[in-house]
Amino acid sequence: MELDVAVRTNGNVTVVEVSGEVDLYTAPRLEEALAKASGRTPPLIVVNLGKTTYLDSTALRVLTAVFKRVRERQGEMAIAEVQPKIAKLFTLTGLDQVLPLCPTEREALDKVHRPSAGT
Amino acid sequence: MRQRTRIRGKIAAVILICMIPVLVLALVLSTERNADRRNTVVRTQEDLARALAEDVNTFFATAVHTERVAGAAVTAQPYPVSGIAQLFAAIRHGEPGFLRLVFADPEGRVEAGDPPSPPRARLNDQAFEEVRAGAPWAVGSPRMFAGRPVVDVAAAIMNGGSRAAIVDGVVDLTLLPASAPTAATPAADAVVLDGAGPIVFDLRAGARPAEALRAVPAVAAALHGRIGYIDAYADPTEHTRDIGAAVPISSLGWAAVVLVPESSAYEPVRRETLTEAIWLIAYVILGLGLAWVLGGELSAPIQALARAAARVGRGEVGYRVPVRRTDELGDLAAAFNEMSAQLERSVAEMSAVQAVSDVALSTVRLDELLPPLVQRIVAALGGDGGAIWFVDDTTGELIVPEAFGGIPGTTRRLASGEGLAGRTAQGYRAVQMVDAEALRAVDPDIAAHGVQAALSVPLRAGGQTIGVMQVFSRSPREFGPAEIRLVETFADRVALAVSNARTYQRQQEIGRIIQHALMPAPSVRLPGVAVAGRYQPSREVGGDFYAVLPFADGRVGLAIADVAGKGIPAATLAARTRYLLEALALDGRDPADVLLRLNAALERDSATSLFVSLFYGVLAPADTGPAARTFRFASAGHVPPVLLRAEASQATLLDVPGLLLGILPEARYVSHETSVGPGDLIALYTDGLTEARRSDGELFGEPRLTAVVTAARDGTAEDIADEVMRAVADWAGAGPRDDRALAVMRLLPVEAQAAAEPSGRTTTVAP
Repeated sequence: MELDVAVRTNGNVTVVEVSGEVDLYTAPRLEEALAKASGRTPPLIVVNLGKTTYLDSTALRVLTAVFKRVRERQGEMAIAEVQPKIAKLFTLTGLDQVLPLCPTEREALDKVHRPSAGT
Repeated sequence: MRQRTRIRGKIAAVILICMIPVLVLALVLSTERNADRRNTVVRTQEDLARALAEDVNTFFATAVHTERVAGAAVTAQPYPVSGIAQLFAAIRHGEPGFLRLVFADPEGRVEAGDPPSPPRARLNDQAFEEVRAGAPWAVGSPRMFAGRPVVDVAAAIMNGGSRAAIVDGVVDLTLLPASAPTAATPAADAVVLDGAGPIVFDLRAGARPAEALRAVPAVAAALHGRIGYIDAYADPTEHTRDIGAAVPISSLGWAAVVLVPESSAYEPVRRETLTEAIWLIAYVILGLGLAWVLGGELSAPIQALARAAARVGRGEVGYRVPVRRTDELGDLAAAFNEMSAQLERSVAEMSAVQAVSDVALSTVRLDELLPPLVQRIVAALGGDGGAIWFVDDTTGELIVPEAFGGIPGTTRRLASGEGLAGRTAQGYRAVQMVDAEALRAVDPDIAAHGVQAALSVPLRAGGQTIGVMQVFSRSPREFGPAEIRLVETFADRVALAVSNARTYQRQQEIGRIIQHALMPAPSVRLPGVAVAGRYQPSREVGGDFYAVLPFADGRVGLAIADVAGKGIPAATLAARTRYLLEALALDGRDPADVLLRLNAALERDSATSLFVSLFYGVLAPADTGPAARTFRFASAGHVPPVLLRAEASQATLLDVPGLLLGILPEARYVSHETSVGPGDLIALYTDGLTEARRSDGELFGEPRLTAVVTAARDGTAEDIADEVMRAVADWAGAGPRDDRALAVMRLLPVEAQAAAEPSGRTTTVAP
């Protein structure tokens, strides 16, 4: 199964849509996309896992590393549309306590969105 | 097909263009020749007319001569009238053309004649008048006499310079054609006519109107003494369009006219022109045919080349075109084949280099790397065997690491500089030995295996010779420059691969040393508890570990952890976690508290993005009974351990929340407690087991894990641990992608506790 990482922006939020399987072999591509997104100021990221079928500990490492970086840079990060099987991994690792898991991308965007100055 | 037509068309066009001057010349010549031929036809008519004129002249000359002879005879010997009549009758009998002969005196008084003329008759016809006026002889205008065209012919009979008499005759013109045989051609009509009167004679005897003929300018000219040519005369009787010639019969003032229908006169001309045209067309067709054949000759091999080039372009390198010609196209085909062959060699070399590179990149394990490498390299060079030698850093000897490649076949050891390999190692370039005798002298061991030729190249990495690579041939051969270049290319890759593999091996060894230091003995027995631990590393060093921590007060700590990542960073973090855990767990501190402190310590180490999942539980005696115990535990994002109580039919998972260690400083952990008793089983594991994938991608998963544990529950902790590891290996294969760690703890009955071996620190000892 291949991995497809699509990056788009919604206002000042970077939405990273992950389709397919993220494992030891495909995680570097996710890492690349997320590293770019977390470099923005402030880093506001929504990771849409709606089409993600598998996520292993390597992928978690990528997500947590990005999350740590985002926090250090006073940004926000949320996960959207997580499938139940993958949501289990987030609850198991306790990541759901620190990383908001939102059922829809809209909610995730609301969660991380910060009105830019003047609006 | 279009290309062929194009080339053929061009050649045909060129040939046609070359033909144009020839064609023009041929047309000009043909036109000229045509004019000549037409001229000849006209001249023929003229000649015929002249001949006719001559015939007519002769006819009348004969008549005049006859008249003169008769007259002279009468004059020389004066005949009586009856005698003259007899003489003339005799002449008329001999010359039937004379219808009448009259002997007259110069005044025209008739003396005698035949047939007899009326007495005292006077001659007054035109011919007589002319002779009387002084002409030696004369011919009158044609006229009709007794239904026949006739003409009067008069001749003067001289006697001593004066006219003695005149003989006048009427000549039957119907006899004229018979005496004008030269005018008789099958197509031509011959006409003789005077300026007035009926036509003297017409060979065809057609009723040709005399006036119409006289109106023809050429005829009029002839009547005036000039030759005339008739271009186009519409013959009213024959309804043909005639040509011809009119020639004056000067002595008579008549004209001899020859008429030929244009169609038949020019027939030979037309026939010749047609023949010429046919030849010309044949010539053009021949030229075009030549162009077609020549075009085919040229375009077919060019097309074959084009097709071949297209095939080579599609990847059919090495495709050849047949060379059947000896001209430039043959040279081109040969050059193409040479190019194709060169391309094929290059592609073969490239794919050989690719194959060797693939092998070199496929694994970092030397034992897996070398045999296929040697095999590929030997195959690429078409050799019978090969070997890779390594330089022993300490002794400088050369060693074949494993017996592979067929030759020399056994593990050997060469002192520095010894044998072909030893010599090669001292230099920098490839060495080839193609003389079997010389090879025997240098390296008897290789020669003993029947090697006739050998190519030996040093393996150099980081500025040092790390070994030697050799290719052997059992048949005599020489390695060409391309092959030597290829083998040197291989040597670079092999040296790099070997160097990488060695670096990796060293790293792996370091990682394993660290990891082994973390692992307790596979089997740990403590009072009231037996723990069977299993660890199967993935090919890369990982960061899984488990720990059994016996405390002085009889409590036992049990932990399992999975450090994200691979290699030495993961192994060192695992070590750090392992020792921090041991220090923090000292005295049986509450698990949640241990995790809290552990997280704080690891989180500060923010240089690394690694995190750790860890499950930690403490088994403590309970107040409720001698055999009763409590298991107090907390989890930092670790996969939930399996708890299978002795009396329960189904296993439960110790699934409690808690954030991974090393992510957030403010992470909080909560301890949970459950009571356990003898016979209960607790299995701790890492996700390398549950996420082991079958070939179709399906994960082993928790349900299968608990099922295996439940099925094996009657065995010892060791049995259960083995069973689980085997089930996972069966599921996903023996070479795990991720580390697999498992610790199965069985609580023993109190009796067994008494029988157990004396308590002591048997943990954290490397197996």
